[in-house]
Amino acid sequence: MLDFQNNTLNIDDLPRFETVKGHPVAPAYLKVLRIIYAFWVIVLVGVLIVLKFKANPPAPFYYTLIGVLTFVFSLLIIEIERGFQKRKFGIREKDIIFQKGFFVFKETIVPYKRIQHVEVKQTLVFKIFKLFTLKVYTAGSSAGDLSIKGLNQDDADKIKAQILKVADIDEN
Amino acid sequence: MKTDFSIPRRQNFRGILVVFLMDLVKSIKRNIYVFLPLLSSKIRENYLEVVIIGLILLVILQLLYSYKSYLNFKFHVQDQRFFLRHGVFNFTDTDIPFDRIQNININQNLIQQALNVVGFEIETAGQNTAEIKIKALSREDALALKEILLKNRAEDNVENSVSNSLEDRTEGQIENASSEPVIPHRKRVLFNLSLGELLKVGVSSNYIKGLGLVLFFVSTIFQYLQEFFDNFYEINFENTYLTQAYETFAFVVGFIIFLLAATFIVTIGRTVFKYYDLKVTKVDKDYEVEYGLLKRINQVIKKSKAQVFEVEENPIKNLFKIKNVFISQASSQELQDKKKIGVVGISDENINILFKSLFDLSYPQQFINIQSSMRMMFRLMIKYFVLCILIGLGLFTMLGLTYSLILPILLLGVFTFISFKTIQKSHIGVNDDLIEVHSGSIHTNKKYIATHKVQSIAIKRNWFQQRNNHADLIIYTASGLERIGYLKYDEVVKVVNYLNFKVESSALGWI
Repeated sequence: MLDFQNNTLNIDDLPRFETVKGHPVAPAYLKVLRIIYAFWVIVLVGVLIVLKFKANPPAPFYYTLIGVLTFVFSLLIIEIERGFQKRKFGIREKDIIFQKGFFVFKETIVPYKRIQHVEVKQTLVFKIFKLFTLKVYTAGSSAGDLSIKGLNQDDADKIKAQILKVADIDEN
Repeated sequence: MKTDFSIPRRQNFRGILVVFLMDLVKSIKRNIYVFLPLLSSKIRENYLEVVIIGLILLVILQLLYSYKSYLNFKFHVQDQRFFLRHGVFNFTDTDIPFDRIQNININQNLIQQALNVVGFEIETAGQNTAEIKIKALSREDALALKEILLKNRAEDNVENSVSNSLEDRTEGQIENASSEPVIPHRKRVLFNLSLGELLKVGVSSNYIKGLGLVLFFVSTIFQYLQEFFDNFYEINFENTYLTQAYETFAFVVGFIIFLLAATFIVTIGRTVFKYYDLKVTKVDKDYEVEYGLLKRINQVIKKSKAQVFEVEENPIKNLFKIKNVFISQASSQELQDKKKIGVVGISDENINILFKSLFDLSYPQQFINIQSSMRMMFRLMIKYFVLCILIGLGLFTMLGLTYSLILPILLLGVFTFISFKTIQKSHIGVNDDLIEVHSGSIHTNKKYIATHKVQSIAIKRNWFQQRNNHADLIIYTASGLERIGYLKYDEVVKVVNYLNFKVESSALGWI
């Protein structure tokens, strides 16, 4: 159905993004994610216990609430645990690829040419684990921009250098 | 007398009123929910004085604020740069080099029309620099300022035009030879929509939005009337009407007819107000579009800035032999629907002219298409199914079992048909220069994007799609994203590789 016979180029000779070998992000990032969800589980369990003893809500309501919360959290934990192996970035000569997600798997490709601005930043928790977030901005809508969380310093610097080498942009 | 823009100056004197009124309208719009308690008669009776005094105080505060913001708003032009200083409590300084200016729009809303001033907007290419809006300038000043700001660019254009098409170059140079310090204008009206044609556009437009407006309006009025009658005459609507079955039936039929008529009038009225006296003028290489009855909008379509070219048609429009065209341009903010430039009621011939000048290609084009799979039915039908069940439950409490079964099933049939059409029309086509994103249900919507104007591409696959080898393709442009659902995964991969190759091998920029 899809053939570009009339063109001078053959579709099968084009560079293929699906064959790019992905690099995983730093394993320490999984630790951070685990700490964050463990924190929220503890907070919510605490709230539920306090609610039970202080307000004593009607039983059907209370157990439905617990059921819903358990369901949501198990989905979240599956997403984090299983999805972590899928978090990978790939660097090619002319573009950068990032993929993530277990339930919804999303692969984004941003050509260096279209990058307006690169940003490497670090939040407080990331600082403790020596992790970085690399953000790549295009002129498109923000959903199409890349935000690679949990890179180690080496990778973050390397990617940034590669982007700056190819694209003519402002540095930050 | 010519205005000197090199010294810092304020807006037109009448600007105080414009700034005040516009700020007032804005803050009323933003805080409209504050007035909700006033709908209750109790609060109206007891606290009316307090509310009125409070409102007057707020309006006075607003007046002071607007006056100060008028005083502090100063702009000037120096060294090929536009400087602006504004703010009330803290100052913001902005300066824009002339060559960063992308576009200048001169608008006039109702307030500005009444006070005989115009609004002046400067759009820039930068991502973080905001747009500049001057709310009140006299028309002469606005035109003079526009000329100064664009003079530099006009010279640029003449130099650059060597690489552009032949006819543009020769005529541009002849214009320039006169060496007048004005922008070479070559105005030619491409087309002007008459009122009759505009009515055709109104008749053939989508009535759903109009219906929504009417329903909202009627329900508000109805509630108000009910409260009114309850208070003064102690008549209960439900009792008087529902006891007499025949009258109820007549009332319902009459009500539905009224709704349909109102929707019809509101929809046509909206179109007429919005696109009144639509005029497309060719100025040099760009197009100037002007429309609106109360709020006159004047926008420029630039070839380099245009990102998405959208053609909308539907069965009634085909009957009238008209189409709607919407052009989205790169903007520093996330694009809203109203930012699209609408050229409605346009003939095939004029579409061809516009298309040709924006893409240098003839219209229509041939594409290699890939089609959404029928599996998308599941995704589309889930929400319709839930909606039908909710409607069914609602009807069950009011009219009993028979109606609550028949109506939702009929509706479900309609929705199934719409979903079927939606999937049938959902496909993406690519060729050497363009992407065509095809969508719609009853209507048909085709969006054209030059391949080199793609910003980034994403492939999204949910849990089911990962198993049945389908994927959603998302194409990001500088004016929003296009999403095509449930395509075959291996075909998506081919398209992505192809588009990537096109973007990366092209020497053309996106703006």
